[in-house]
Amino acid sequence: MSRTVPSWLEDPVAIVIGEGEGVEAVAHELAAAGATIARGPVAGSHAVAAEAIVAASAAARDPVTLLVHAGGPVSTMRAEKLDLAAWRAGMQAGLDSRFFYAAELAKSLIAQGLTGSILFLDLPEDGGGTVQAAASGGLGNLTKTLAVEWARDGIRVNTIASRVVGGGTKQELRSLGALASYLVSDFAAYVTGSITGIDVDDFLLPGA
Amino acid sequence: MATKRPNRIVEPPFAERSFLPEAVFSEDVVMVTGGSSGMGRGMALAFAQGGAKLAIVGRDLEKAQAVVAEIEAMGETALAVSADVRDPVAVSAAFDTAEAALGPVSILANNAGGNFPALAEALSTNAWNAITRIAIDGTFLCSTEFARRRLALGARGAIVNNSAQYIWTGFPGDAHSAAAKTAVATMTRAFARDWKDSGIRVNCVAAGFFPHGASTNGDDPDVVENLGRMIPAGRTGRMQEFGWAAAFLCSPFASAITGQVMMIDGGESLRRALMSPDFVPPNQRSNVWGYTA
Repeated sequence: MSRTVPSWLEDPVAIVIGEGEGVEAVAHELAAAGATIARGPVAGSHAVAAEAIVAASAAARDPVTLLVHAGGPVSTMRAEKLDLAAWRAGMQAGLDSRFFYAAELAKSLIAQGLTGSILFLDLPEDGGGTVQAAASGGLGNLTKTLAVEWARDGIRVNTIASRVVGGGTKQELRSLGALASYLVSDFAAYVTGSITGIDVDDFLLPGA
Repeated sequence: MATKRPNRIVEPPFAERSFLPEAVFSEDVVMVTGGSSGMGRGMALAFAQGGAKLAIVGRDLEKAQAVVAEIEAMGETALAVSADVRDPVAVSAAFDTAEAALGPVSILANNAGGNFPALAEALSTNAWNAITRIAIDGTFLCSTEFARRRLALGARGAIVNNSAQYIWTGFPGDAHSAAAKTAVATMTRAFARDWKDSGIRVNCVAAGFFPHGASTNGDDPDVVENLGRMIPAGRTGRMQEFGWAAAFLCSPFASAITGQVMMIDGGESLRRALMSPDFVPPNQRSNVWGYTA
């Protein structure tokens, strides 16, 4: 068996946000599946996300149609020891930035009459401290909400929530990359609003 | 008020287009229960696309043989096996028959099931038993038979279960299947935990509306198109995408994925609004599964 996924994608431009072993594995497999990968910073506002999408489209000479947004390092500090700055940094990477990018990509796709796909990479709810729990809960229900809101625009929204997003074995990371590539491809055109893990011990939202 | 936008409805690639590499399942024998029609047939064809040998299990051997003929026309090998998945002796015999002809079964797709609209208070013992035991007992019996055989061989394996989009919300007018399909999903996780260390992966595809020839009005394109309008994605599911999801989860590309319930429903289970039409209880509806009186 080849080490990478088949050509499930027809050369889309994907903007990839976040850091860690998981998102790097996903970027690698997306490239193998046929995507051109651009990077963007975690965004604290709509404007930052919009600017990153415009820049990525210009650099690739093609519009961005895929968004993959992971988080960053997760604080496992006890809740009473977290200061506001640490709390806000975690929520920005874990929730706010994902919303800003998703909304800006949707606006861009709708304006251009294009379809696209959004994939959030998350740790499970219990994969960090309070910041992760709050961000993960928000992201899960945001996924389901945006999926329905944009379904008729041909924009799908899904989340992979797994401890593997934070790092794992080669086999786990390959499976993460393959699942991500499948989910953003048209082969999964009927999958939207889903939250899927990798391992049976990934604790997901009730009803995920 | 938001500007009205045109609908953009995304179709999957054609059924014939290659999804997984042609030889990805060339070393596998796949047993599909309820494989002689509908979603079981969809899964069987997806596995056949990847070069698997198929055991098509159904209660009606003639129908199973028709799917075998389709697979043979694709240049692959298949065998029709008759069995009632509620009977452990019959399940064991079905594995014996399949393995004698094709070799050890390495992938199991638990698809056998049934469904019909019914008011809970009107469900007979037989009706309740028929739906719940095919899905729950059938999945349990086939999975445990499969696992015992894989464990005895010291070999890895994969199971995919067919569940439904209404498993986390309930489904008024469908008490039997609502209970049965959620049991299948939660059983998936329990199996996955039990057998993870032995390399047997167990996942589940929770499917929305995938019309087919044997489903209500599934062979009428006009009706199917109308049904698609009630779904956020703007269409019903196409059988090939259901098959691909099942095949992906059993493939080497998903070799670390286990215990997952993947929803594939075009957003159907998530459709809601704060303001909805008046609630009409199932017993007052013209169609038990509909909205209106």
